[in-house]
Amino acid sequence: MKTIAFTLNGHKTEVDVPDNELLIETLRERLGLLGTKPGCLEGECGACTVLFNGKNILSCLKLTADADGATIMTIEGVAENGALSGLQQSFIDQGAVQCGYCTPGMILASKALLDEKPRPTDEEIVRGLDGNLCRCTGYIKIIEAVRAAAFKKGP
Amino acid sequence: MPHLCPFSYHAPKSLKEALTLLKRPQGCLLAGGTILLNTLKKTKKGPQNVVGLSRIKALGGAKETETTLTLGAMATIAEIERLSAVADGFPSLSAACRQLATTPVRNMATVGGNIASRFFWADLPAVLMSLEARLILETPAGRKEMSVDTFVSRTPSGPFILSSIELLKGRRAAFYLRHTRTMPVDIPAMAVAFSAQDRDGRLANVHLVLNSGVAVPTRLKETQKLFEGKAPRDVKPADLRAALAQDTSGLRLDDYKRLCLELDAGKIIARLKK
Repeated sequence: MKTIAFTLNGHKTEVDVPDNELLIETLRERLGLLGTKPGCLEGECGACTVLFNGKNILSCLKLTADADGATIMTIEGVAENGALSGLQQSFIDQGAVQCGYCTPGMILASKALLDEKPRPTDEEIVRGLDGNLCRCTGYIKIIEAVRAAAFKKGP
Repeated sequence: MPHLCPFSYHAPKSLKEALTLLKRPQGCLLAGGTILLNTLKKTKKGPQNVVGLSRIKALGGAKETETTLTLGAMATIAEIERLSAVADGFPSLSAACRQLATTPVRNMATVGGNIASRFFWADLPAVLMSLEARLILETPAGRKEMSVDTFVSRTPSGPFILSSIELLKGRRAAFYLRHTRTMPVDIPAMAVAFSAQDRDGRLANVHLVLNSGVAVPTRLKETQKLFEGKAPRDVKPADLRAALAQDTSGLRLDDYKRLCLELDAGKIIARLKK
């Protein structure tokens, strides 16, 4: 067992985990953050995406023991003061959600992209989401949602 | 039920400590995790000791001098892709990083892991071979240096940690051409890495490496010879086909891959003429 400390969704968090525990297991089974979805568990589908020090990574390919000192954001940390973020609202407005299983990963991958490139081209959006699979809507609505969130004029 | 077999995880902060830990029974190294952890999910009996390299600062980042660019083995593919020194000086490496897997994998996977994993479809060893990169290995007996050719052809004996990759700067034409079966993010079905220098309009120091259709990246020596010393316009298609046929005669390439290779060689010449 190891004691691992990290910042999770803005809160200092400490967990005791077996050495062989994956981050997705810790998030879902130990911390109850069920928005991080298990999909292929091989790094192909992106359902388990989290932001790790600001970058979108796959929590099924990360040991929790290797996350000591990291800053992690899951989908539960994206909303701001209890309200949906502009990006989340854009997914709803554009009809980019169908079954919703891929949506947490899609939103976190989009957030990582927009944090780095606030005004991405369509090509950059496609590339930014290349690690996330959706089996329902196709990708057009999702790309539109990211584009709309990026180019929405502020108040 | 845990997805991974039980093991002890160690997070050393220095190369010396890591090498000591690696001597423990059934030890293995963990870099970005994109290959090793997937492998461990499919095995019931894994290593007893996993030595993570993420805390060793000496393995990260990149250093530049007037003549060299040194990549830390733990630099991620995404970090390498973003380096202006790579984009400007080593465009084939930049292209390979850009095409490798998906964004989250590029954020996690490391250059060292890509080389040391020894997967036949890994993109970077072939590109680094074509760029004559040197690998720096840390061993209990001290530092060793070797070419990528040597590294891919045989595993160094005893415990070692690939610590960095050194590239010599210099003007050269360099390309990485990659074919996938369905989507661009797939592993390559076949790929070719090329680099050459220009000496008064003629090709010099030519490197042509076939990747992924073969067990380890393989130099196409006859085709390299054919290019050497010639102006690109003087390479005759018939000679090129003959040289490629000779290079691939002992390799198990199907007709599709042979055709891809011929087309790629043609594309390289077309790009060089430009």
